[in-house]
Amino acid sequence: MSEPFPFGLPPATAGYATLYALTLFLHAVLLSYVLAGAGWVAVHALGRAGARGSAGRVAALLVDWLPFALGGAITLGVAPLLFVQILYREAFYTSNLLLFWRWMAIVPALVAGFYGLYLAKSGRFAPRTLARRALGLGTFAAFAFVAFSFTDQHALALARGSWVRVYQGGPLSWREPAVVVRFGLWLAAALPAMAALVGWQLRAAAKRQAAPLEPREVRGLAVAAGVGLVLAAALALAYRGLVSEVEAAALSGPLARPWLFVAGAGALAAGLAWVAVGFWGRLGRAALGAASLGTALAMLGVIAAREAQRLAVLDVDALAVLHVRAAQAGGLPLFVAFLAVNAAVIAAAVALVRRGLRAHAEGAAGAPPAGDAHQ
Amino acid sequence: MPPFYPTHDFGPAMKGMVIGGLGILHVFLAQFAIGGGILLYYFQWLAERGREPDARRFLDGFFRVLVLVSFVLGAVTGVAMWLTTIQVGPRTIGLMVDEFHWLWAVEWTFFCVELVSGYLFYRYAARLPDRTRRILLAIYALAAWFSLFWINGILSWQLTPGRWLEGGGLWAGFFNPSFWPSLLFRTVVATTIAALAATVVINTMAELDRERRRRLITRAAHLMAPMIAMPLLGLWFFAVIPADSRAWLLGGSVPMTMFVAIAALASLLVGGYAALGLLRQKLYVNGATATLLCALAFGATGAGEFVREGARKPFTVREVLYSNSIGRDEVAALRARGSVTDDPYPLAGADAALPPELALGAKVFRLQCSVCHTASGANGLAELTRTWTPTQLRMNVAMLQRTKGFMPPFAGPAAEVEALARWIESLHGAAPASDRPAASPAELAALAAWLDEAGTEPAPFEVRP
Repeated sequence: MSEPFPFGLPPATAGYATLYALTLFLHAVLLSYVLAGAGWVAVHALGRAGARGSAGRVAALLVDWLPFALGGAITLGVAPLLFVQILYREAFYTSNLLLFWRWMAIVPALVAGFYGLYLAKSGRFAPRTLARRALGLGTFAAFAFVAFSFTDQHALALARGSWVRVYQGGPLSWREPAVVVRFGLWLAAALPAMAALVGWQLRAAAKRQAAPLEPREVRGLAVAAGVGLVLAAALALAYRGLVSEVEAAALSGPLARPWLFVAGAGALAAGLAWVAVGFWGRLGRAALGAASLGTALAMLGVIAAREAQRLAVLDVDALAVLHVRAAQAGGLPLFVAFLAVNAAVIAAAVALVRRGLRAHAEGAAGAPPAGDAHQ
Repeated sequence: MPPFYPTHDFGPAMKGMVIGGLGILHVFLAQFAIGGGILLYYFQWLAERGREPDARRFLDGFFRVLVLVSFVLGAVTGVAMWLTTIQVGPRTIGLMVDEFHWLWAVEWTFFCVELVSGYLFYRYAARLPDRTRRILLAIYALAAWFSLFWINGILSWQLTPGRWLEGGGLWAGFFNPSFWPSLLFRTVVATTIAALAATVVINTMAELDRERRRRLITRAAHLMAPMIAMPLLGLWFFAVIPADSRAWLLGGSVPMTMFVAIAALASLLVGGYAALGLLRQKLYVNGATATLLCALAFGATGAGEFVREGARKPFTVREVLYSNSIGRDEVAALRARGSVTDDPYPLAGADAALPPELALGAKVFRLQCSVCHTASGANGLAELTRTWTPTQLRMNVAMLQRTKGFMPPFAGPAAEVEALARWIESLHGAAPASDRPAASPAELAALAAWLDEAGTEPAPFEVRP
């Protein structure tokens, strides 16, 4: 394979791998928002600022939106969960099975975290109380555990040589130092992704409320994103030193190298954009756009390189046979058609609500109500 | 040969119990979400037309319950179902994914619509005009129902693959013989569950007096009217499932028949109460009664799911893959090669110290039996075989599909039958295998003869139950 992912792969494998990477990207965007957002809320709850200050405005926004973001992350996670089973069945299933209860514990953790978010949103606990702090920490811990478990499970899927040992030793016998570094990398990278999304939300909120953003608010976000980017870069380098020779070769090979370049360039662009945001104290459209685009490219690059690393340790030829067989199952045109139709339905629903809200706002402001047949 | 997957011991719990318990909860919540969408649309319509002054107030409260219960628990248990299925039968879920992944992907697009429309309503409904609210609810209800449409085709295919078995392709498998009765039955169940949950929520609306609550409850009960079709849909379902499954459910297996009876009786009670109490307004349904009715509906759902799962035996995908994840077309090869000869996973825990012949038996149990049986817990082999003589035990194992029609054929050579029999005998406290002579060639030949007599195919249809 001498071409960048996924071009060097057999056609069926390339098709499924592309779909997997794209849907995983969508999932990862919202996952980053949830993970880093829950972390932000937890840190804010532990601090002395209470509900005041720049961090307070961001925290309030996150508390408001995190339940939806988690619902979205779970829903968007269904598609990559589907495609990963086609792509890497034996490895994926085996690591699921080997980790057993340790893996299945993500279910109660997710339920607890989900209700934790709704509880926080309900405003039941006053700021700076022990309950609020415990809730913030507990919720973040639940999501961090889930994220760590996915990283752990992924690493075990690639470690075929350890499977028998882990089976004999039980789920707790699987300990791989590289997993901690890799998880740290994801955690750090979640910060700039969350910051970019929150940035757009802050801009929209400021416009809606006709209340300009304070430089302090903006700089807080820029610092978080910058710290995340620097940490992620450092941990990526550290991780590179921990992987096996085969994986290291794959990461520097033609399948992954161009994507790592894309990831690096994206991270650099995002970093520069956040520096500009922090320096000027303004969340301008261009800077935020550059930060968002850079972050998206960095995430896509890392996801593609991650697949190249995985394919290096698996038997691609054997897998390709299974992928060809799976591709013979019908239904692809239907999926494409419904993807388009349902994307249009979602867009129409959002547009409909926006129009309804605009009419409501105009009505509240004393303007004549917008035309609605039943109003 | 297919890959070997690591297998776990769930202790005294049968693996089916684990996935069944979670599955029942998920199905109940999912059906609540589907019926809830339809119910909400109906109440929005009532509010918009001015037919029910408290409809809007109820609607907003009910939607909060729907979000907190269904969006959270429903979504997470959905993921959990997938992960649990992998734990119990990775080859089954693998086959389903292979055949239907594009339809699963289609279902996913409906999940996205459901989530966005639902959350838009949750977040902004209070500030939206009635028409917009109604359109949003229509989108939500349709998306939720379509998610049922897609998954129903995949699940019903497991029991009645129909013309798919003859190479009919994806759509022959999807629109299989039990697709429509199953879909319609589930839709009725969904609206019923939603109506029952609505009666619970309405009873919590302390700001309304009893008469206003009664009026709302009567409105909600309209969604239980389709229950009248349940007996017909049930008969339709029974008519299209394989004859041996039908015979098994209707008397061939007492536990299965009991579950059928529980599902029918619980549904009858709920339906009867709905007809007399709610629709004809002879009775008032207070919170406690409403909760009890919900519990009955949960019981009916549980029993129904148990029946649906059990009716497939000895298969997990009818005529293709047995419950123990061994393919129908793999049995003959495993008889020759040995079912665990290539299994790379050694015994773990206390079993790791077993002497070789017992270890072989333990490995055979792990691969071929442990998905439905435990050693000495639920459906434990120790109890099931306690009264069998040594010869009876060996013959029953060798001719498994003839011993019980809902069991798969034994998928190993005579030596594995003997090893499994000795391992089972060790559960009864028999003398250690090392103290007993190895099976003689004549004994092994007798086992081989039984294996040959039973053949490598499942029991014929007419004797399966």
